[in-house]
Amino acid sequence: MELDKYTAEIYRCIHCGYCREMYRSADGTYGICPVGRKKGFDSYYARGRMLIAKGLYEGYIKPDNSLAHRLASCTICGNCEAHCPAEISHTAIVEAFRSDLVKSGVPLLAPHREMVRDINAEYNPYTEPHSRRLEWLGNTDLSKKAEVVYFVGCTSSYRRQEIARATLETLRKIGSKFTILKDERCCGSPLLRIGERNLPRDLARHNVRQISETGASTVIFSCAGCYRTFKKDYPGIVERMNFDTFHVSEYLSKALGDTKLKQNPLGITRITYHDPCHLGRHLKVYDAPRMVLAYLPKVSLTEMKTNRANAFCCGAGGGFRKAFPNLSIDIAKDRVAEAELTGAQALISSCPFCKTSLSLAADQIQSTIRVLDLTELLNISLDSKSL
Amino acid sequence: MATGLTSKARSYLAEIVGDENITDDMVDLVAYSRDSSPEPTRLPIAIVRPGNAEEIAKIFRVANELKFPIIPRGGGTCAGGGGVSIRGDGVILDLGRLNRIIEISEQDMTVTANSAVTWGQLDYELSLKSYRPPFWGPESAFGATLGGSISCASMSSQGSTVAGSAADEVITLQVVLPNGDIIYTGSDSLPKAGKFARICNGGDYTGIFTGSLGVFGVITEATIKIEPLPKEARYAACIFTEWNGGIQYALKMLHYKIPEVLSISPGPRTVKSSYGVDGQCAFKYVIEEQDPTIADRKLELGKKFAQDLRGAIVADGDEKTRIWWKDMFMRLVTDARKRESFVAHGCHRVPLKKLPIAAEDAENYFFKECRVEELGMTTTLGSYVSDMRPTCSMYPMLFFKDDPETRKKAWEIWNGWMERAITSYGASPYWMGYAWARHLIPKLRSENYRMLVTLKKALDPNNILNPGLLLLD
Repeated sequence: MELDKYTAEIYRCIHCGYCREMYRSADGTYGICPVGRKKGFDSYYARGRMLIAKGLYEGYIKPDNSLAHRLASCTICGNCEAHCPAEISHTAIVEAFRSDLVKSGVPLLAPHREMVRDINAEYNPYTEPHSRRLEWLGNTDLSKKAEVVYFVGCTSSYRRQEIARATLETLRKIGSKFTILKDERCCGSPLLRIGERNLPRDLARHNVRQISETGASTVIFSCAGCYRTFKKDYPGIVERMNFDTFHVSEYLSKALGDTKLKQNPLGITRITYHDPCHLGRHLKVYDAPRMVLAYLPKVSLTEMKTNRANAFCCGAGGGFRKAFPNLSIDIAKDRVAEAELTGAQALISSCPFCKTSLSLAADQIQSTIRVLDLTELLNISLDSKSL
Repeated sequence: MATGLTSKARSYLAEIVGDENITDDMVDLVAYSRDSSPEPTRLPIAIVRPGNAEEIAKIFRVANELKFPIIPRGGGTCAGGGGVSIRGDGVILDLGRLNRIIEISEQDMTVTANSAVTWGQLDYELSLKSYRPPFWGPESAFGATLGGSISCASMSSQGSTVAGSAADEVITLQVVLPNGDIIYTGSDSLPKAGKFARICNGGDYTGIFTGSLGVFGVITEATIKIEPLPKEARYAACIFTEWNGGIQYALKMLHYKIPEVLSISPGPRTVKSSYGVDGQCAFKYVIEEQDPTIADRKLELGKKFAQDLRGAIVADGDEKTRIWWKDMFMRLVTDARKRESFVAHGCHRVPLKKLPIAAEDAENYFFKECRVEELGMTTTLGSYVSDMRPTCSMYPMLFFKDDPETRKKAWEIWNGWMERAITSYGASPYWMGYAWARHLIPKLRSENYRMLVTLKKALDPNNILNPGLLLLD
């Protein structure tokens, strides 16, 4: 079993329960598990999952649909892992556990089965034709060769095209010599997160080959999920990657140099920032987005009660939103409410998946806060005519 | 053998708490099958999550009618078999939804909170107003709950030297009795009196519910003391080559009311591993005050007393103690992580004068007789003075791999220690759980045991609440 790799860690859990509702005044920890907080039972928390894993090893429980359901009930936000004094790799364990269940013949949840089918057929999880992936680009010509590749990702290609456009325009304005893959495919993140291991290998190899053909030495991402997958998962499933990877915020924080930006024409002066889990806790990129936001003139950033390593999840990741859309939005509503408490006019994130989730939540609770991607705000400040 | 929850019981319970707050799915039962101890896996038959005292009262009435046991559970971090279904036929009462801090009263210097509020949560909210509880929480404070700790009379080096146990901090309680009555203790037993005093209006019946593991009632709300956060802190450490000097030193520190915590490394093995030198006992002390002059003077006196009694001041003792103190609630778990181990606790109370015997006995038992190191386990010993009195908490900890085979062996060693500590020098456990109870209860004076049984029968005639835990079946 894939889980066997983590047996020592699983048995290192002393059931302290710090992964449930930990509050720590010293570092601003204010709760841990977005799903456990909603569902309550221990099986939804990391501690419960460690006991379930022990129960599986010791014969108290067998793989079944209930177990699959509980394991799917995790956004892979990594907040438990970041606060686990036993330093247990909770997110990797959940993914390995999910993978073992798939291998043992327990079917994926129906929405996840659909997602696998769609990615297999059209290389994206949105039931959209692959042939329309670059439609958002219009008649833009793409270079075959470039120093930089902007890996757009499925969500920005099909659902949050404003982020793809903003990233593209921003890169142009700062003079980056970049291109976009003509045959970009899903990075495989949604599949890896739900425990599907085979299909992502083909997707990874295809994407890496495509990038290599451009001769690019740098790949940048506006999607935290794609970035995490390239950075942490690809090295384990592709042979070689001859390029460096950066989140767009990391790239821009260096590339902007002494650029002076204009005041944004939206009149936004008070913002708050939501750390995407895949960018923050998974890859420890906390400063770069804030450094980019600091370029915006007359804009002040007020942090939410939970931020950086303590930031609460938007509820979208790890296949959770696909399987439990209502609960996912409930979690996002809490995050928007937390943002509102800062008095900010805009809630900025740097992941299209987070933006989708937070925007839906903001709409549902009729929040006046605007949900924007970092690239959108930056783009309009680089050149107000672009509005 | 457990037969599971009947459909009638399930339906009644679901009507009370809502279908989303009850489960008897195996995946959930397994998640509630253990606490933070080496006690064996014990599956409950269901879990219910009530939202308030009234729902708990209704659940108790159903349990009385249909005769099934109820096992209250707070944070699930008991170190000795608490919050688990010992007989395998219990419904876990997960109190997690009772998680509200109700009132912080600066005028009364109290905080009132639901029982499932964790000590970490309490500390977080109180610190915003520059307060804290004098007892800060047990070692697992970020997971342990207020109600659970009061029910277990938890202690720890965080605050216990001054404040004693969690139970000592209680002013009033709201308790649901097994018959479904909701009662209020202390001054709150009189309508309109308020929550300001514990022993009044006919006695201290708060005490019935503290340290008794929830066998007489379930705490749903507690009002406890708070104090202003100190502005000043000082740290130091000293070592004694003879126990006599160490004990005289501790007494002197108590006479002058010096330490916020007075922690003791008992026995030569512990002193050597902590400080790398020979000695019979070593002390870490933390001073916390509002006024810097008082803090400095106390630090100076602490050092003077040590020198007067031929103790050696540890050169970097201030820094070592400060680091030890800083991340207090992470210490236990990080210790376990460093050893890649689970941990069994043997905490109990012992008079200061008996600490040398207790430490020697523990070293002999674990290292010489059980040869724990040859079994791939290890033991550490710790102690601290509590209640500003010459009484200590002594805590041997056994670190072991949690695989079923090693766990079983560790369980045997651990239980052997509890039996021996009680019989050899009268170790008195404060928190218990089933682990200590199975050794302690049969050794209580028979009259005391009869009184407990009488009390239990009066309050819980159908024995629905935590059967077999404190009063063994």
